[in-house]
Amino acid sequence: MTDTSLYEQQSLIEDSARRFLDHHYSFEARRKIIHEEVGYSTQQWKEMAELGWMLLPMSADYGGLGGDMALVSTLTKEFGRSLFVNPFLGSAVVSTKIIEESDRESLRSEILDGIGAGGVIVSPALYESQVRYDLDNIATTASENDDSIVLNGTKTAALYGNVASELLVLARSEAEHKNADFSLYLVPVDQQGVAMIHHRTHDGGRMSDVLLNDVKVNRNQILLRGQKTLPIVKRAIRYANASICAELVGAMEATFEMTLEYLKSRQQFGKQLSSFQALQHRMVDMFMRCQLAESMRREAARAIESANETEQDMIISAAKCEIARSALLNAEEAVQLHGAMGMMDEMPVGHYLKRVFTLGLLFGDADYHQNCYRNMRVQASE
Amino acid sequence: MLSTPQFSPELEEFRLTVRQFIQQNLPDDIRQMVACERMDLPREAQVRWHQILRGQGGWCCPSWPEHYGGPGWSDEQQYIFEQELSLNDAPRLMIYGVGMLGPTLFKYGTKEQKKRILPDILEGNIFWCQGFSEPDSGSDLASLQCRMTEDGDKYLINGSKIWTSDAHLADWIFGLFRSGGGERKQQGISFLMIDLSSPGVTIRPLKIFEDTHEVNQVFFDQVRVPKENVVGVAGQGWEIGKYLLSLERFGTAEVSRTKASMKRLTRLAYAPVAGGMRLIDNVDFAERYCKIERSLHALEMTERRLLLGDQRAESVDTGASLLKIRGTEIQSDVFRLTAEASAHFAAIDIARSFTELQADNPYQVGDATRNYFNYRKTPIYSGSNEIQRNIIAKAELGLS
Ligand SMILES: Cc1cc2nc3c(=O)[nH]c(=O)nc-3n(C[C@H](O)[C@H](O)[C@H](O)COP(=O)(O)OP(=O)(O)OC[C@H]3O[C@@H](n4cnc5c(N)ncnc54)[C@H](O)[C@@H]3O)c2cc1C
Repeated sequence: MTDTSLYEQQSLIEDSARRFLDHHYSFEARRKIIHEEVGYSTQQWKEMAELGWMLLPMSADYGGLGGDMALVSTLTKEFGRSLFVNPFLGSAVVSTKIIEESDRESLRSEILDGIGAGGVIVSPALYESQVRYDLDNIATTASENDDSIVLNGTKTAALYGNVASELLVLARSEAEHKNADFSLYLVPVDQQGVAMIHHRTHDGGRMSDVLLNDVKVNRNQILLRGQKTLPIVKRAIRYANASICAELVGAMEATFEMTLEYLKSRQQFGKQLSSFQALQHRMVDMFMRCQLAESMRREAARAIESANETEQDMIISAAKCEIARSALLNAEEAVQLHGAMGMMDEMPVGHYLKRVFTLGLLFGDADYHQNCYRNMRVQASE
Repeated sequence: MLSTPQFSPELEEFRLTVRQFIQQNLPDDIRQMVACERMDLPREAQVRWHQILRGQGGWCCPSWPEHYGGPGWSDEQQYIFEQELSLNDAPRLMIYGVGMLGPTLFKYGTKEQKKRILPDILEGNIFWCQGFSEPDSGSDLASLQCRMTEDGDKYLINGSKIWTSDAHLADWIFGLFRSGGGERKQQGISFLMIDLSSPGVTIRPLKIFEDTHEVNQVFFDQVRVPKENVVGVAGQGWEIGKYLLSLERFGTAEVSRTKASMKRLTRLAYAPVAGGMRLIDNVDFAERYCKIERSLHALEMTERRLLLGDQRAESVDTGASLLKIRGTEIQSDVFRLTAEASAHFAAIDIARSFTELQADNPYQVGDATRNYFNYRKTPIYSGSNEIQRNIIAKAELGLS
């Protein structure tokens, strides 16, 4: 059954996103933008907020547009098509979904208002390099004194930490290392003891390492604490992965189309490359992977909206693993079928390879999700 | 790493001599660049290493016979030498002059050409590049159109060559040019050597998407070339070009280079991780790692069988194609896995980020992700893997 109103909303988002990106984010414009200091256009960021995009992932309870993943992923699929890199994923998706679950009302609405209006960027500082994607075993500690809490540790992959005003820092209490007691803090980037190293990523994005050296925070900065902390963070990550899946699928479709176009236009041996059966089969394989990936994108969106936690977890891991692998394989194939042109910086195709490779690494790479899926499968009943 | 069958005691002795020499004489700065998988070494570094090998009695030109100044090695010795270079992070040999043009001149060059050209290759004075591909002639090389017309005692060259590796470092270019027509497009092609400092030559740099400058477009506008720079007979260069490319196709399988890359990945896989798990303890990683190791071993044994073993049974031509296809596929797998091995770290564009980070890059393999991107070129160049499959289908299997 298709829900016509949902379908209409999706079309509206798709149209407006495509128009926006065609107009503002041509491949040529993008080349300039990603090399600027912050890595994206702050003017475009403002316009995105005016279009209401920051509100799409946000719950209606907090002034958002409801956070329906079918809509969010329609938008991010368009981002993927255009190689659009910006702080949306980190701030408007992950941070929003975590902050929404905080019971600190005034703090919550203040920040969510800021994110929704585009004026505030909050970067999630969750992961640590020694444990890769395994949040259960992070080492950053929060030790409580009488009147303050002290954070120590090193975080990695804080998306767009270079432009964030605040970080979301996940830590564990020092005392009980085993039976983890996690908590999550809102830490202004200029708080004493916070140092950041900003990096450019291969796709033109930005992310930061965060060094926390005796960072004294007060109780007002606690957004989440206790048993519910980690599940909430993981739920936000599932949400993020559904959004990433859509970006990857958008990138896959664009790569497929440009490769098809290229094979039709290029001649060798007196024929179009597209007339060689060996290449036709390669295109058919790419096409089929696009189709299956699109189905999994929708399936991921559906799971976010409806499935129970366990099922949601399995579907998201399945989708991320399958789509990330297919997207990378298709991008490699696309480069290959362009011949030496595919290696050129002036051609978009190589930049799609960089983008899907980088996106695939965020919030759990394909191997990680394969492992999660296997563990859940083994634990599940027949 | 799986061990491979030993050669004779004499050859294993030879291996140790070579290894010791490389380890004692390879400059550290050069070793580091190679250990980071870089192919785009500065000319100065290439020449420096070339001359160190030159001093050893022509080791810089391992496939050359003694009377041309080479070491006069057997196939086995050349194979072992190449392996030791790779496994000890020494640069690739200067392929265009040393590996390709030199041996081509042994076979097709005049006395005068050999005398004029070979010594400068041996000494590392003259750098060569290879001009085959053109904008409209890639896989279909024989359709090339860069024109060569007679003009008194000279030829006039007009047109362009593209994807020319190292043209920006080179002094001379060799390649194929269109000097006439014929029933078949392979006719009327000449093999020519051109001084890149000739008036009318311009070189446009082309940037690869991961940001290196390795290839160029070379334009020829009324460039005058002396007739003595034709190799073989004018109009019959196709056969010479084919011969020369067959020399390259063996090299581009890069089996021993991939072995070296695999050694680096192995170090990474077994490295202790404070507060975390070693990579090799991760089932998914281990599975992919083992698969590559198995394939690489099979490939190495195939290379030995085809290059050194019973060559009567197999057609060497398609053997080169097979090695090139599987070699570059496995090489890609190693580079992909090495990049993915570092999780979030793999996302960082090290060269464009803070330079301090380079110093404590925990993986010591340079920017593994950049290498992965860069090595996407290997299944494309030297006859793409698709074209190599066509060759096997036609020449080996008789399918057409
Ligand atoms: C980094 C790099 C360095 C290079 N260095 C040099 C150099 O120094 N000198 C030089 O002369 N050239 C060089 N080349 C060029 C290289 O040899 C060509 O790229 C190669 O021959 C393919 O040609 P093309 O790029 O025009 O691709 P195309 O011929 O346009 O092919 C595009 C795609 O179609 C496939 N294809 C074409 N025909 C068929 C067919 N009949 N059946 C099935 N598939 C087919 C190809 O395999 C490829 O995947 C270099 C290339 C690269 C990437």
